[in-house]
Order: sequence, then C-alpha cells, then structure tokens
Amino acid sequence: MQLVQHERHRMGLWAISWRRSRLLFIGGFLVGLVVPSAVFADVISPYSPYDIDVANKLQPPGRTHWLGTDEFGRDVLSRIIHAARISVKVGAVAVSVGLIGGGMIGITAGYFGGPIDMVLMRFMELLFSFPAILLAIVLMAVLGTSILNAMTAIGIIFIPGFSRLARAATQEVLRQQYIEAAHTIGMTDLRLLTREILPNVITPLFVEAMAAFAYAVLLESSLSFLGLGAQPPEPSWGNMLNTGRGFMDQAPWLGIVPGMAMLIGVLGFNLLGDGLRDFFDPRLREAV
Amino acid sequence: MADPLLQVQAVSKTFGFGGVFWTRRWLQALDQVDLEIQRGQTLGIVGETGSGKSTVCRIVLGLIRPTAGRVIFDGRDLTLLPASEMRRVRRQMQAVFQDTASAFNPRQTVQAALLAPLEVHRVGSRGSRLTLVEEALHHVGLDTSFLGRHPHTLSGGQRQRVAIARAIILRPSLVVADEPTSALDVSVQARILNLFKEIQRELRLTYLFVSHNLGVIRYVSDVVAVMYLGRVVEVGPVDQVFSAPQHPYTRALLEAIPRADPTKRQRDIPIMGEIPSAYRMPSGCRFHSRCPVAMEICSHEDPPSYPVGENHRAACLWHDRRFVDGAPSWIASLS
Amino acid sequence: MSGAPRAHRHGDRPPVLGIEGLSIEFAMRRGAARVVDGVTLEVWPGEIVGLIGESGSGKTMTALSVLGLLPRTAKITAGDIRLSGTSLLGLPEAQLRAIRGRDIAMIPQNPMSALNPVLRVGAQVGEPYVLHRRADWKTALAQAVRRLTDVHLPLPDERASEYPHQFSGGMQQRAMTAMAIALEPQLLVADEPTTALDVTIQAQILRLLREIREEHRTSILFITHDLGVVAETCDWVYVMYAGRILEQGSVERIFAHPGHPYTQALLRATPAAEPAQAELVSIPGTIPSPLDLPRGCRFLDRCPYRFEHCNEEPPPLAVETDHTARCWLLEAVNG
Repeated sequence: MQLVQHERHRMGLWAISWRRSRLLFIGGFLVGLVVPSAVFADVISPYSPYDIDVANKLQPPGRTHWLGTDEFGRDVLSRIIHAARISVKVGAVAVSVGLIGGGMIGITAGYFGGPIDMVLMRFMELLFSFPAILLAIVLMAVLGTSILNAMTAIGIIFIPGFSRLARAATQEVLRQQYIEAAHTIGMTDLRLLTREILPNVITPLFVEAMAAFAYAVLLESSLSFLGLGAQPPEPSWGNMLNTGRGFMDQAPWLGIVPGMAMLIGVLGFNLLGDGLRDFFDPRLREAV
Repeated sequence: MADPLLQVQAVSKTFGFGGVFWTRRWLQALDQVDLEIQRGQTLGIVGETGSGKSTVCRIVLGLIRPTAGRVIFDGRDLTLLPASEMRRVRRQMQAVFQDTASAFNPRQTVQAALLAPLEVHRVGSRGSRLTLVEEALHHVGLDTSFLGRHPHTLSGGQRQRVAIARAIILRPSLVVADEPTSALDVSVQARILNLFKEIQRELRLTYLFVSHNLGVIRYVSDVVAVMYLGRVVEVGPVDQVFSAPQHPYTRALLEAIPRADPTKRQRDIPIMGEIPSAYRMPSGCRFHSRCPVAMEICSHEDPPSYPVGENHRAACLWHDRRFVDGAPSWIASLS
Repeated sequence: MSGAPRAHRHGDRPPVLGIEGLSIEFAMRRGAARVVDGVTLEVWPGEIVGLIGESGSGKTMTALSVLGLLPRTAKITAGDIRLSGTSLLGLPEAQLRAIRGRDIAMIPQNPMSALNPVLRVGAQVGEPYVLHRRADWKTALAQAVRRLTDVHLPLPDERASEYPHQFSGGMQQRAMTAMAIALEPQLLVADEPTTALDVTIQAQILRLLREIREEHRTSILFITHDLGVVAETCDWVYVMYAGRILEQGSVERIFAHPGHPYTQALLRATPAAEPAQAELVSIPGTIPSPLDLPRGCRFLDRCPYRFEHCNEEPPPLAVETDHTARCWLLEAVNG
C-alpha cells in the first residue's frame, strides 16, 4: 500500500478539511485577532492609550468609547490593543529564549549522552521543580521589575520544558539509519548536528512554542497583575485586570474587558498549538 | 596470488548493558571472528538473529570498536588509527544499509544526500561535484529528474538505488551492504542484486554482503561465512558450502529454507528449539543444544575451525581426527 | 489433489470462505483508488490457500476485508464475502464481533505489536474463552495452557504467566497461533505470519500450521509474498497483482506450469540457495498505480510477451484442468 500512502502524504496543507482541523482554524482566527492588533496597535487604536481625560472618566461602553473609559478617562479599547503588544512582545522574546536555550541544552544532552546528559538534565529538573509563578517572582525580585526582566524570567522558566522535548526528539533522530549513514561517510560532529539533527528536531519544538506562547501571555499577565511586570502608565492585560478589580461594582467593564482579551489570546495560542500538533503527527503517520 | 583487501583477525566484541559494576549485564556479540575478503570479490555473511553479522559490519566500518582483535584494511590496522586518519580511510569504504524509510534525512533532497559525502571529503569544486552526482545516478540507472525529489516520495527500489549511488560516489574500494534487499519485493530485489553485480564489475569493487536470505547470498557471493551466536561456524567458496555443507548448522539452514518446488517439501523439521539468548551462551559448542547430530562431548568442548577443503573451514567436532571415523555421511573428511 | 475439480470434492457444502467479485476503493482527491478489483477466491474446508502478491497487489486489503477490519477510509464497492454461505457484508458490528475470534481468527505479521505488552500471555490466550464462551477465568487459563501445549510451546505453565516481551519472535507467533485456534475457528487468516521470523523458526511455524490443519480441519488463508513458503505449505494458490487475481490453481500445477507471465517472472526472479541460478531475471517497470489502472491487461506494461489483444483485459482462461490464468496467450494455445 506504499503508493496510496504516498498520495496522501503529498496532499499537504490544502487537503485539510474543516472537520479535521477545527483547532487549527479557530486557533488561527483568534491569534489573527491578537497578533495583528499588537503589531498595528498605533494605527488601529482610536485614541492614545495614555491620554488622560478626567472629565470623561468611568464611561460605560458607548459610541465614542467602544469599550468605555477607565478611572483616568483613558480609552479602554486603545489600552487593550496596546496591552496586546506588550503580551505579544513578552511572549515572543520569552519563547525565543526558552526555545533557543532549551533547544541547545536538550540537543547537547541527547547527542552526547552519558555524564553530560546526566548533569544537564538534573539541572533542568531542578529548575522544572519550581512552580512557575514562584520562580518568576523570585527572578523578578532579583532582577528588578520591568518588562524586559519579565521576558527573561519567563524565558528561563521555559528552558527545562523545551530541553526535555529537544532531548527526546534528538534521541529519536539518533535512532534513524541516516545518522549511521552520516557516520559512515565520515561526517564531523558539527555538521551532523547542524545539518542532520537540528532540522529534524525543530518541528516538535515549534509546535510546543505555540503552546508556550499562550503560557507566556498568561504568566506576563499574572506578573503584571502582581505589579511586577509592565509598570503604569504602560497598559498590560494583567495590570488592567488588577485595577479593574477595584471597580467591579462601579464599572464592571474595566475588569471584564481585559479578562476577555486574555481569554482570547491564551485560548487562541493554545488551540493553534494543539492544532499544529495534530496536523503534524497523525497525518504523516496515517497508515492506509 | 592472495590479495586480501580486508582482514578481520580474532575480533571479539562484548556489549555492556545497564547497571554498574557487578550488576552490569554483558552480551558477547562476537567471539574470535576471522574473516578475509580478496580484492574484487564478494564475501557473503549469512546468519539468523543474534549471529553477530550486523555487528561485524559496524566494526569493519569503524562505527564500533572491537573489544579484542584487529581489522586490517588495505594493509592498515583500523583499530590503531586516530579519528582524523579514520576519516580519510572512510573514503575507501562505504555502506548500503537495509532500506527503511530512515536511510535518508527526510528534509534533504536526493541531490543534497548525494552531495554530502563529496562535501565532507572536500572532493572537487561545486561544479565538478554536480557532475559526479549525475554520474553516480547514471551508474544506478536513475535519471537527473530524481535530483530534486525527496527520498520518502520514492519507491523502496528507487531509494535503494540512491543509497547505492551515495555509497559509490566517493569511488570506494570496499562496499559493506547490510541486508540491502530485505525490505524489497522479489522483482525489485532481483533488479537491485543485478545492479550490485554490474557495478562491482564496472567499478572493480569489493563487497561485504550480509543477508539472512541464503538465495540472495548464493547469487552475489564468491565466498560465504555462516555465523551463529557470534562465531563463524563455516566459511568457504559459496558453491562448495551450499552444495556440500560441512557444519550441521549450515545443513539445517539449507534444509529449512522453503523451496519453490512443492514436490520437495520438508519431511522433518531440520532444527528444533529456539535460538538461545546470547546472555546465556550454551557451554561447549554453541550449537550443541539444537544440533541434530550432537555428541556428548559437544556440550563441553568448543570446536576450533577445522580445514575441510580448499579455503573451506568448519567449526565442528566431527571434523576432529578423534571423531571423524564415526561422522555422519555428509561430513567430508580431509584425511 | 488431482482428480475431480476442486469444488466438486466437497459435495453441496459451501466453501468456508467465498469471496466473489470483491472490489475495495479508497476515496482520494484525484479520484477513487481501486486497490482490490473484482477478486473471486474460495477456501474449502481443510484447505490451506495461498494468496501471493507483492506490495501494492491488494492482498492485505483482501485479508482485512474478510475480518471486517478495513480502515475507515476504505469502502467495499462491489462483491460479497461469505463465511460458509452466510454473507459477512452488511452484518451489524455486534454480530461481526461474535464471528471474529470464534469462527474466523487472524495470525498477524508482527506478533509483538499484536500482543498486549501489559497483560500476561496466559490471560491473552484465555481471553477468547471469556469473551465468547462466557467461561470464568480459572477455566479460561487452564484452556490457555492447553492451547499453548498444542502449539508446542515448551513449559507452557510457566510461560503462561510471563509477559510478551519475555518471549522470542517465534514463541510470540506460537502464542498468537494459540490464541487464534482457541475456539477452533473454521478459518484462520494468516497475514505474512513468518515474514519477520528467522528461517529455522519459520520452518517450525509452517509445520505447526500444517499440523493444525491436519488435526482440526481448520482452513487457512495464507497471505504472503514468498513463493517458497507457498510451495511448502499451501494446497491452492491465487496470484494477485494490482488488485486482480491473475492466476489460480493447485500448488503443484502452478509451480510446474505457471500460466501467467507474471507468475513465471516471479519464479525467475526468486534466488534459490541450492541449486544455484545463473541469472535472476528482474521485471522491468513498476506496478500501476490504483488511481491509474491500465485499460487492458494489468501486467501489460511489464510483460515481455505483450501483443495487440492485450489492450483488452483477458478473462480467466484455462491452462489445464482447475488451473486458470488471465492471459491471452492461453487462448492461442487452446485454439
């Protein structure tokens, strides 16, 4: 049945039917709301997120301010959109730190094995055993509170997860016969690592990166909720949620709106990650 | 006139698994293996699971170091070479493995896979390399339209041709083939085997050919070595060994093969029992627990290799001067 | 097995397995891939019938359809499958499940993946008794040990409480066979049961299957690509290619006078250990894609004897009594 298997493989992206890839489409849609907003924040915001207009403070959602105004009269919609930018920035940097750092550690551990593997993995396990929020708080306490430090802290939190994934993927690749063939040809370790192992390990890491992005957004929001991330007047979903708390009876939209925004962002990335995972795995291995 | 390109001398290999110190389990994969291949010839190695035939391949290719013994290739002892020298020697010996989907990097095209050996050994310039790639494809009967394709889009037979092209592109003197046709259909196998023979003539290659299929070995080999549990139990010219085997295991193997002739069905099962685990090697002769003609002494004496004909040896006590008089009829005595 | 034509030897009783005009298709973007096309075959009580074909022939799909285990994407578009006269198609899943295991059982190619790694072997072999005969576990286990003895597994009591990974390949296949014959089914479907086994173990398993046929009058549909195995084990042979049966007949006749050029080519392409072959003749070209089947004879593009008439697909024509092949050359002979 080799032939039919081959045909299915060639179908690729365009053969995805709606039924089988709901996750991918929904996730993609939601992410499509968040990321372009973040990128084009300046263009699409109706107002500046910093403009104070005390006369119009605590307006409910209406025609001039679609999502209302906060306690300083700032347009909530504009603040939400700019907050998306912070979340996406932090997410992107943190995931990159985790991916590159964790990837390198994992591939090294997987490739060399033995004592190197043991030492690296024990260290990763140590890091992994801390609850994420706690670790982030500790790191922020050490580094100081700012967006940049938030990115670094979250990135560090991601490293063990990615390293474990990279290590497993590397070990799987090492079992393949083309690695043996490469040794037979006389390939140097460096070339083997960059040309043969790395490209084949990237895919699962990339899929995980999507899910990590979601988690990063959540972590950033938590940190700024606690006052450790973006500092005022910078809007962040987390700190907006925090201030919104205090106004729940007067102006409930101040709490609900950032909450909804977070929901969309986190859910979107999670679904996209799951969708990608499903897309890559069973499709390629589906026997006919 | 003997001109051995490759000599395996008293090679033994033991693998260790798990545990530390006294809890470590040891597996003896090879025990005092002696083999020789003359330039331009094909040595076939045949054996079942646990015979050690794949381990021999890996030791010859330098992918694993032997625990004891030497591997002499073109006059040089490979076990003594430093890694940098070894890399240079690798140009002279290449391999074709059993084609599973994993013989090639799935992200590379056929062209990239064929260029890799040339790039690693810095052969020629960018332009001349492409010519060499095309030549190699030509040798294996594929046209240049295959260059841009990915290996997983090819059929098993086509993939194996590309694997052969990759093996010959550096113009090695020795090619090690480890079960290269086991995953292929009968008709495709025939084509690949004929291709192997053709290329051997054209490029004056020497082959080490491993298979569990005796028919395949008969077709491609000049000399055959039969292995069982890490030992060479019989070795000699393939026509002699297969028409008049001198070791009970070789005989049993030949008997056990189903023949494409319904009038010649097996009457008795040639061999009983399971292949013993290599962790618990039988005492004395390794084969005695399943041997249809075993003597009492076979369970405590381990036979050396006895000469039984021209360039033909067998490790069976029936060839020993002490016992040869009472030997089964098919044992041909040298005396 | 000469004398009366095959069907008439059994009087009025229907065949154990009757497949008539079976067609199976996969729906693909570019159209329907017909992987099994109008296949008709029969297995009579006590027969071992070989279905031989290379990859892409459709033999595995045929086997799966008998068991009702086709993948979801495959559809039976024509024909019927009858077990002792009763049609299996269109039966509700509950009834099929009752039949599977009790009346039809399967021996798969890879026993390791067919055995549950976390259950003891005895429990797995005993399961059919619990599921189909409502036996209690104690009885089931006792029966399991008895079946393991039937398949000549040494020390069956101890083995029954072991796990599959503690068994060798041959032992696993024996355990699968024990499970398959537990309820004395009418039909065993063996899908390449010895392909993954060593030659000497294969001989034992083939012997075991013949024994089961002798003692229980179980019919066996034996799927394989190995001509030698067919010659060794089967009474009747169907040769399958690109979804069609090209030739069928008794095993003696097929091997003595192969009627179809494809069968002849397969025989010429199979390397024998003894006696040696001067040449292996390969078959040029490749098997047609099920999406793109030729209008005339399936084997047209690769046949050395093709002529004008071959553009029209030949029906089964007689080679001799009870031996037919789809080849126009036979018409010329028979006049």
